[in-house]
Amino acid sequence: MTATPRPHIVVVDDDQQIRELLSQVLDQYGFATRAVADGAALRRALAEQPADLIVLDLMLPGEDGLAICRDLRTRSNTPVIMLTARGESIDRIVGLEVGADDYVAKPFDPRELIARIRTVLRRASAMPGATPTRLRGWTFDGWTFDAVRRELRDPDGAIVALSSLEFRLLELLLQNANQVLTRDRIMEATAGRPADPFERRIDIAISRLRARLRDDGREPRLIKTVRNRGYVLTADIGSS
Amino acid sequence: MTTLMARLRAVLHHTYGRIPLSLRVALLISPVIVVGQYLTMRLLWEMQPVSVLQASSDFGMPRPPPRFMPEPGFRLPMRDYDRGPPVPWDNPPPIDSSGKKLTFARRNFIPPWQSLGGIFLITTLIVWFAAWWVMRPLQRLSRAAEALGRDVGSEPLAERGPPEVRRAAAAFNRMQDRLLRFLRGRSDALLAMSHDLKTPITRLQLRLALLPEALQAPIADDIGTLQKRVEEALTFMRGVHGGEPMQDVDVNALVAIIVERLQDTGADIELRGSARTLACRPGQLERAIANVLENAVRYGGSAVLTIRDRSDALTIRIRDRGPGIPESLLPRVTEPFFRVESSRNRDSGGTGLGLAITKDLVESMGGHLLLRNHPDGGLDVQITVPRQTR
Repeated sequence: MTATPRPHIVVVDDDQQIRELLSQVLDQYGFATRAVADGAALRRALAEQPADLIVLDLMLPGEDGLAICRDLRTRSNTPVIMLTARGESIDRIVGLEVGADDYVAKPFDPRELIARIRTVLRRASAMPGATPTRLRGWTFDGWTFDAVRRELRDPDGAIVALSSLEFRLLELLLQNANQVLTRDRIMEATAGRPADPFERRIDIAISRLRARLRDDGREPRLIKTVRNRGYVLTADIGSS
Repeated sequence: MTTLMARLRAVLHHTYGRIPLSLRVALLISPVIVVGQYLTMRLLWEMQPVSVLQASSDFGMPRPPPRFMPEPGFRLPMRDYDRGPPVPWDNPPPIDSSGKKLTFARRNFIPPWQSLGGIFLITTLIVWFAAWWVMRPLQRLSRAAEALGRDVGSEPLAERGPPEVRRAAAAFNRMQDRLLRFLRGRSDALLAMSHDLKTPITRLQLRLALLPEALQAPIADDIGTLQKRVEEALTFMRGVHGGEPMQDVDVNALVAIIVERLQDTGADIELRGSARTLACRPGQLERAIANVLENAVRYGGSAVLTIRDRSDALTIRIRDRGPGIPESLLPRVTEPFFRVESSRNRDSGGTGLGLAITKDLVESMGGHLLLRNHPDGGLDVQITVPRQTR
């Protein structure tokens, strides 16, 4: 029986103890990890052996995380998750614009980091070899969804708040617009695992999302239920 | 009788308080000017010699006989024309060198009441305008101070005008500059501190994840608490001048997110009412409402959130079924680091910053926070945010 190869992760952080501890935790969860302290060491490590994912601290002395990420993107599509102690929304936006795939604020629950690593890896493997062009946003039925700024605006331009689950759900629906998504697929993309038979989370999230989009729950126009199959977002989509 | 006097005094005090400075100056100076004029005219005219011939012709009296000569040392009587014609010739008036008899009298030129009143009114108006004109720099200063209070980075004052005004404007600008440098220095310090605190907490989280499951739970609680405290303190010290821009916000969605997040962890919250789009800072509004609602659920068990939309403001009312807050402590509850010890579960203690932060957030949007104990029990918190009038 061949074991599935462990995904290769490279961690970049200037704090030595965080490097050691993070390596141990990731190892415990089934990832092969290397840890480096700065951009130069990262490039050397990647030259030796490419990585499946990079966990990159934003605040590094010398060459900072954003510059490293920008430089990395010119050469490869390796997914990047950014870590930072700041947590300001502007950092998030800049990080995503520079090419990071996700963003985790310190201090974080290690399990959350693990979940996000798994989600990002799953997304990357779903489109092997393709350049993961991160779409900035979509327009549909007068609504505007900016994936980078994480903002949804109604046809009048007012900001409509969404929970993080609702954001991921809407993003997923828009990425697969006019195609039916099964509940399992939705669960995998949002929670990293298949749905339990009695899982209500997705249904509740869908009904809340409908309320936000002011879509009638009984006769929905935008997010339709397809019996025994799943959900679909039906609309004319514009992307940016 | 004394209450009437007290009330009268209060009314007078209140009325006086509303009189603008320029008008006070005018009311002070005008009587001085008018009375001064009046006295001057009186004195001048009293000094004005009037010949007996003139006096008698003024009063239509027959010419006095020329034989009247003053006695040496004769004191001149003051004739008061207002009281009628001079008493004919028993107090003989002196005669000047040309042979004309002299008497000192006041000319009949005392302004009557009506014209005095008119002069007073005109003088007051002129002085009032002059004083207002002179005091415009003061208004500029107060407007600048208000703008500074809303936004520390507002335009510095133009240093022009008379020397005192220029000095005041320069001092004001220096103060603004110092404030800006202080705030910038503080936010740099906060950034460094934030990094310094978050790194060890991150390490703790990682070490925790490496421990056996059984040991994790209690330590996780404490680390979670530590993290929350650090976040709260840093948020409070960073202040609300975070520069979040005003946006048009769907309030219903914003409130629904907060309510649903708490309902997902089992909280009993009822949501009522709805509102139109509101121009506000969504991040700040969200934090303010979330703070109050979390408190209500934590200390009051269940909560009812009512949204009330008016043309001039939006009100969000959160009522819980808890013990409320003792009346004597109610005014202090929004003070930073103030905690209501007695009514609180020891395990669920906080830093005492939640309401202080909420008050700052609401007030920075031009609104206000009201707390009171509901007569039927529980705490009743009201967040009011004004609607922008364009």
